[in-house]
Amino acid sequence: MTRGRVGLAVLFVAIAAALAWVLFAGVPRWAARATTRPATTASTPAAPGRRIKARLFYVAESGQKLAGTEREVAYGEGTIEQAKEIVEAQIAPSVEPFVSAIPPGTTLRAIYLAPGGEAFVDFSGDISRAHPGGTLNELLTIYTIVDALSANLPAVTSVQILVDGKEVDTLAGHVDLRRALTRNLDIVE
Amino acid sequence: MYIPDTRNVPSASLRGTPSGASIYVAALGGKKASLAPERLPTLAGGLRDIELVEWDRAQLRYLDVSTRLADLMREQFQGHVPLDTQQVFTSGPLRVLESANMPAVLVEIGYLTNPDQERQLTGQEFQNTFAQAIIDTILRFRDYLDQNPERR
Repeated sequence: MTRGRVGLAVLFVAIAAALAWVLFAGVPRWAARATTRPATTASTPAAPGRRIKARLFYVAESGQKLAGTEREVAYGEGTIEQAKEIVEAQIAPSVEPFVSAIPPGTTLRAIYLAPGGEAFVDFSGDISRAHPGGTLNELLTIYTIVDALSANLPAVTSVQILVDGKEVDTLAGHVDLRRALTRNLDIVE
Repeated sequence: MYIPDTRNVPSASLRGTPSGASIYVAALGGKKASLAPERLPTLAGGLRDIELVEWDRAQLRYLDVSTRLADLMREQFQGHVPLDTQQVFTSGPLRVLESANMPAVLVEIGYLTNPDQERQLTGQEFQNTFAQAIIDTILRFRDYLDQNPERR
């Protein structure tokens, strides 16, 4: 065997070894990293048992304003997950002495957050169908949601309420819901 | 002035305890400065200063005078018809008010969830008193505008 042939054989063995390493070690490691990456960027469900304090809003004793109260709600990773937890806690049936301005049976369908901080909160049609009516009650219902999100989540600058996935004019004929609303402190005691 | 349809008049309280009439004035974001006129071409030729405003924000230029109307109404109601403790609300973008291209308030005359008031609301005497108070308010408001023509 000539010296050149020996060199060629060594080179061939080296390339084969490198290919084998890429095939049996490098690719599996890359694949493992690739499959775990989305989990770090996707929204993570709330850690079981972990809770935070949030300011929720209920009808004040006078019946004419909202009163804020600090309650524990489930922790959610990221703004959207936390917004879901806050709204779920806010629309849950209230326990004495609290009175909720959210019509019974209302469920949360989805929450979206636009880059500018505009939150779109999509409720089931019960929020409109089961609403008792009246301008004041409508204001209380709407600002319960708007204030709960904007008071607890600095990233939320305004809130637009959707019903069954669609934009609506009003819930019960009075308050314009065709655009996002900002936090309203006048209606809170 | 806009008096809403019968679907929600009188109103129902979530607490059941309030009573009395409520008067609402629209609360709209934005400033009157945004109503500065623009010089635009007209169909007949030439230019004209035209104040452009979104249809659903027409009430913006009348918020001050609408608030005055609400105050006059509150004064007129006092001693004649029961008022709730809050009396005048300026709490949100009210659909029936924000497009009104004129002074406008929304009046809800009482709470059906209050049994005493429910009986009162169905009585003709109360209804006549209430209607008269609204008429008297409109007359006082007309006089106010006559004395303050710059607010028209």
